[in-house]
Amino acid sequence: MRITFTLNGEARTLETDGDQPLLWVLRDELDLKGTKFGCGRAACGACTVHVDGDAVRSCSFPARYLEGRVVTTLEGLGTPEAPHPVQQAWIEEIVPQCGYCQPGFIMATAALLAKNASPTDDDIDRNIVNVCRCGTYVRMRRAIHRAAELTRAAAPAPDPATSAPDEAAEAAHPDAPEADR
Amino acid sequence: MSGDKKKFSRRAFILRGLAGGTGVMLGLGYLGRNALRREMYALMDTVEPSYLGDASDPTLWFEITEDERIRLFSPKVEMGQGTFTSLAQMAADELEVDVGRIEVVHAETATGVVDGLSTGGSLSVAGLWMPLRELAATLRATLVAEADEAARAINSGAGTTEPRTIADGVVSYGTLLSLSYGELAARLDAKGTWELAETPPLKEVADYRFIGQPVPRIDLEAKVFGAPIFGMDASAEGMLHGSIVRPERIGATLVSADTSAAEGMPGVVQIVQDHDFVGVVAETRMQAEAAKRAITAEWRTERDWETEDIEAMIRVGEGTPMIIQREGDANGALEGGDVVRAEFTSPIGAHAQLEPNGALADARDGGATVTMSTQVPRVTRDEVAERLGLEPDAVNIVPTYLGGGFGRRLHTPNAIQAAVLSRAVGKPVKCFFTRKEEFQHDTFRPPTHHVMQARLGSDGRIEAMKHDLSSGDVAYGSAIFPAAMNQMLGADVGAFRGGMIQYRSIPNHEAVSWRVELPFATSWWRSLGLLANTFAIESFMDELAEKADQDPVAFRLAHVPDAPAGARQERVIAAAAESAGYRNEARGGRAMGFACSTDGGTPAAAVVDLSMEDGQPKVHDVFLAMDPGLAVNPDQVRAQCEGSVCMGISASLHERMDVREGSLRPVIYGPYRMALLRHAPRRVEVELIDGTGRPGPVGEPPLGPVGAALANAIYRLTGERRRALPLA
Amino acid sequence: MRAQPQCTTRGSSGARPPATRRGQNPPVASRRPDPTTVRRRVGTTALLLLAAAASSAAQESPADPHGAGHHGAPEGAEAPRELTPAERAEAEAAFHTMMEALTSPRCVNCHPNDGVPKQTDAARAHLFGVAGSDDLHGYDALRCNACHQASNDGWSGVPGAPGWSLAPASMAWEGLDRRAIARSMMDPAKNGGRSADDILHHLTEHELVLWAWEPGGDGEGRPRTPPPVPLETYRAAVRTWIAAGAPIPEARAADAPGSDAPDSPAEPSGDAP
Repeated sequence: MRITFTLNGEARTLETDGDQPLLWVLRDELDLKGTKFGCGRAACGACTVHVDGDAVRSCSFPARYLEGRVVTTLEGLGTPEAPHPVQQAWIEEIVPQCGYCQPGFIMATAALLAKNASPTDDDIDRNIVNVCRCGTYVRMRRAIHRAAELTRAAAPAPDPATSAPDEAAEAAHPDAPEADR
Repeated sequence: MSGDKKKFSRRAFILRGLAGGTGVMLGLGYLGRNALRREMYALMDTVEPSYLGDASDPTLWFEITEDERIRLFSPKVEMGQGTFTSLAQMAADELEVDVGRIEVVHAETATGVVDGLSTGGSLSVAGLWMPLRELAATLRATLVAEADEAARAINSGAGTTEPRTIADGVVSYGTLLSLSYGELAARLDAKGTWELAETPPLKEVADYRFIGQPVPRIDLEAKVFGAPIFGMDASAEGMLHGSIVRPERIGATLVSADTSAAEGMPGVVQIVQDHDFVGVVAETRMQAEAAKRAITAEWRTERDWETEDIEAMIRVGEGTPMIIQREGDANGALEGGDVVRAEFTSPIGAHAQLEPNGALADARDGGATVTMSTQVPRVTRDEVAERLGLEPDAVNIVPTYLGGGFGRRLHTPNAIQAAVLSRAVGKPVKCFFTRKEEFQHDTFRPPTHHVMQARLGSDGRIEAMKHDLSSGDVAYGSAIFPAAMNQMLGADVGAFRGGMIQYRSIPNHEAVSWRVELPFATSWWRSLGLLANTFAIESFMDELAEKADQDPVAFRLAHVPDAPAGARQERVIAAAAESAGYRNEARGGRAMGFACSTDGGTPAAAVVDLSMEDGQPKVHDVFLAMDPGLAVNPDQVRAQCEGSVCMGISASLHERMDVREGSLRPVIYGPYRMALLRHAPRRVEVELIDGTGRPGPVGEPPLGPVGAALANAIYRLTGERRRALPLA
Repeated sequence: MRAQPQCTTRGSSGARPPATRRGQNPPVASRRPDPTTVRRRVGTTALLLLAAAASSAAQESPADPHGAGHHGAPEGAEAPRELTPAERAEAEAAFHTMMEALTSPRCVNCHPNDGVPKQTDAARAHLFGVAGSDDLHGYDALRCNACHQASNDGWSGVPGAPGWSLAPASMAWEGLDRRAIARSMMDPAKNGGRSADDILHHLTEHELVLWAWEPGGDGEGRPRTPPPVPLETYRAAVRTWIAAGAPIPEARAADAPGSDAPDSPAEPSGDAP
């Protein structure tokens, strides 16, 4: 089927099998290898991307639901020249070991901070449930707090206690279309 | 000076190009008997770091690039352990260049920089400590000799008396002459041959700029911005996707396969039946997977195993025993009454690394190139060559970054399967496991059973101690450990890793390893037998300390041999206890547990501080002290300790594989209960001690004490002694 | 079986305001095709009946959120119109047919009493510590639709339907017996202010509810167990029961919790990995 959506800020149209998971559309059809295959069952989080600002596990997201959606992958998050605060924090804290799960954690964290720039440890525990086998969790927690600092410094947000998280998400993705959910 | 510099035109200097052929010819010839024996003992209880491969010709190992970077071809693979960064530091210091100029890449086997064995055993940095620095120093000396020759030629052959200096890859003689390494390499290239200088004496450790410093990982950017560096990310022009039909049941062999429904499916290029397997090749991965689902395979199994069957096999007293340690007469001393006895068990463990196994193979034109994550490029090459009927040097293995290793990639039949599919269709084929296949066809950490026995003397000291351990195979049946070597050793060095009694001042002590052959593949899992063996020994030590009415830490120190033999062990024990403020009592709903181990000559001690929440242990803080010798990159040594703590918590508290109706289960994260961020300690304090002045094993030793420390803390808090992993 | 949180949170006093996320789950009525005439007729009747029942229930047990106090109460209190013995028997049979379905894990798993969705026929806690959160759609970076899309996904085995989310706490069915579930379901104070018409629609037409009869397969291709009653039988039973005024029969021993709602998880709790 023919699908038009926004990928990392650019309009894309492609012809693909609607049952094909977004993961493989990204990796094999669009050659964006930053989104990883870990389990194919939405259990590990290595394939996490953003769809309309929400963290989504792309291995369980059929391509047919892409129509009109706004997708961000790790490649669209930041660059070495202009890293996203989460990437900046990941570098400062030297988080990765093997590195394979890290894109998913970075994307999940970015989605969290877009809605809650002052996450508590409990917030982190609830929201970030990806799997890392190397055990980089200790540094990840530090990096998430550091990224939150950087996020707050970059855009002094209204008091999180009075700001609805959902508004923060919308602010981060002003072009998000009315999602069919 | 600037005038001189202009004499040298900029171009690519491919050192390897000139010296290229020599490496490939080395082949397997260097796998000599003595080296084998060295490696054999290196992998045993006291590791002697060694590198099994050619390390005499720096032109094989280094390339100087056009932009004055130095590329190091590493025979060791990077699986997260930080080896590449440490190698860059070692090379930079002896080459006298900034570490930022060093680029480390995986050596393809065709380069000739081939490790005789594997990346494993925590030996990469330790094993390359001498040879890599010597190679770098030799390259530097060769380049400097060329510079000296240039310097002698200036001033119309009168030369210069200006002192020579080297700064960041530039050799200068006052203001008269300045030559970069790139320029010098060009001069040497122009001569048509490289005459290597004698290897100069290595620098003193104190003189190193980068060694011993927490240099950021050199692969940080690639890993934070999603560069396609893993085997799973490999692609090739015209590539197709393969999938292999794999059985669910243990020991199943293929009887027949009905592929008719799959043949006409969209994108299907070919169904390949070869020897013992059926594979599909299709245009996309999902088409290949869909077609595979449409194939009906009939399998034959001898029987359907259950966990209980496996547990009945893994019992001390079953299988083949071998005494691996004996001092005094433990058996005699343990006759009669008053023997303290306890049994411990550990379950089947999965590697569960995040990147599944697979390969991209191009087996056309009488050769094969296989791009993949592997810990054993040489073994992979030889196996592919054998299956395809090729000479080893017709096969090139292109190792990529590994999305986790942990021992999982020491067996690589996936390379063969991809190559067979590629040859069948005449195109490059990429073929990867599904996660279910990854779980069911893992080479698992074997389950274990331990019987600990001891007798306490009237003075409260241990008179005799015996450890009987039963385990499935680790080294046996492994391609990196030939059967002959196992026969020479008589016991499984992997299974008994950590199984010897480290309290050698106990007058009578003995350890016996019972070997059991299981119906499914078991093999190397990070730290091998260390985690389970230490769980048994160190839980038991706490039990004995309580019986002797002594503090667990003091009790251990009392049984460590006197210095110098026990000095390093003693220091890590004291350091961990002190750093944690260890106390032998529960307080405020929390309690501490202590344990220590020595692995490959690296002693480590851990204190965990935990509470119980809803009946589940909640680990708060972990204090770890370790003496790996010189930490080439202390930050990455710490990272290995932190990672080992998390992996140890995960494996000790939660993980277990079961056998149900003949199948290994579970087959997915979640049901395979791995620690998540919320289960990781909020704080891991690592204290590093350098007791040797040279690098020793790092990646596995810190895993040793984790399980026992957890069990000891749970006991202290709840009064319940848990003797079976997983604990929660 | 999953309820629409917007409806329920809106109607529940003290609940958080409905989510303001764009495009999420407009109220059921606005998204559904026109109801059938049958439904309209039945619904109108039931609505009148229900109003009386609800006020009666509210008076009887103001401090009894689970309606446990109704045990032994005359059924007439809930069904204002006197039914003939035949009608009563028919309604009772319909009630139990309906409840055979509603107490299946496909329904109860997402009507938990602890905010934690359940999974599998064993109704064990959702893996990875997933819980519904205040807005019942998950947490900031772990929305239900991080994994669950608008339909079942054959590749990953992740189930999906439009509006995938958790029923609110007021609609907790887990651990309740059939009669308590029915009371809760028909109580506007707990059901999000739904009329009997709304309930009929929810139970027989809503996509998230109907998912139970097309639950797809898991990640290994093994089909999930649908409710033990065929969809049309179930629908007919719901219509019959509501048309009769949603009478709740006398308790039977077989209806106790545990006989129709799985309790203790067979696998480790959700907070374990």
